[in-house]
Amino acid sequence: MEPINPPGGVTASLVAVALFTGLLPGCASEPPPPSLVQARTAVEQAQQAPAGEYAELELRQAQEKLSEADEAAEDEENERAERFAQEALINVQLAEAKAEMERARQAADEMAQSTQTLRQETERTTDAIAPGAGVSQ
Amino acid sequence: MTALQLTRIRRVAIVACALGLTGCAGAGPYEPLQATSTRFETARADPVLQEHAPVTLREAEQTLQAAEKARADGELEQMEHYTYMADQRLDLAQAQAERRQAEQQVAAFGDERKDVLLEARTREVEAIREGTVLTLGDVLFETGQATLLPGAASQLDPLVEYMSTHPDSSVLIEGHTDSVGSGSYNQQLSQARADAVRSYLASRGIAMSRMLARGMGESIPVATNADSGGRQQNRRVEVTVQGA
Repeated sequence: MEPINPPGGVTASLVAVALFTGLLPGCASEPPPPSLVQARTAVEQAQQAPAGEYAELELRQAQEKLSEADEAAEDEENERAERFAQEALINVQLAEAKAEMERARQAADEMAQSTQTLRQETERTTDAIAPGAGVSQ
Repeated sequence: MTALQLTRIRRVAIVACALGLTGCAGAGPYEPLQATSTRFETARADPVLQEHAPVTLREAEQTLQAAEKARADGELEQMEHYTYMADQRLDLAQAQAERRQAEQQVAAFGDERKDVLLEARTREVEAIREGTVLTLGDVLFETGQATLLPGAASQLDPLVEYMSTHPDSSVLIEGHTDSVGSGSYNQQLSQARADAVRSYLASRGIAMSRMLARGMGESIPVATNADSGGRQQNRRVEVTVQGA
């Protein structure tokens, strides 16, 4: 299967599609570009994932791009379908990366908070060990 | 208006432009591509992105080059596509870098917490000396029982550390109750609670011979037995550190 992300891979598959369509003009039943299948799988997986695993805005963009890709494929415009599929895929990737970033930020915020609390608590506990408060000399 | 609608409008504009310039090989300047190029230059100069998202940055650069080539070749739809892809990759690099930064923060806070706990423990151990009296409150035992609750460990562990590093030290463990209940019951409970503390210290490696546990019953109150606050203060185990 063609690699999806590196631009070289995209170019190669576009060239392949271009050659294919050029060599077989008017061919009625071309297979959809492989990246369309991949984009559909990625979008469907993201839709089924628990809330918060993909950023909503980017996922919605991916869905729109996928519909565009489907339409283009139906119209046998495979080059266009390929482009939309690639865009849908990068949208899904971004949706995931943004959600991961959000989770990491939340974790960092919580850690900051709890570390601060811990520091205050331990300082209080140590003060309490002073003579007359729990422990006497 | 969605990004997709904008994309469509842009495409119409580009196609119209291309029709007007039939035969012209390269397309003129394409504003989104220029904007993305500028954005890329800023991103490439950002040390945070360099450190945390070098691969995605490189992919964005290659995609941008593909967009420039498509522009030079007059492949307008390709140019638009690669420009969009490059822009998305820059977003991706940003998100990846911020995520990794946040993860590093989490790790740093983890280290800080360990330091805080270690410092606190050190201060607690350093506060202990001959004559120190550690009071274990009633709340560290099950109600009416001699069973130590988990919270007691954090109070006793500094003492364990002190005794480990001061082999000549010993402790006197005295259990006390309030005046509720019979004297013999209170005597028994206070002895059992003192014994529980002794057993815990022994389980942490302190020799039995260094610890004397005795029940004082209700005989030595530290507060009034007339109200519940005072009674709670009276229910306690006192551990006194002694020298050689």
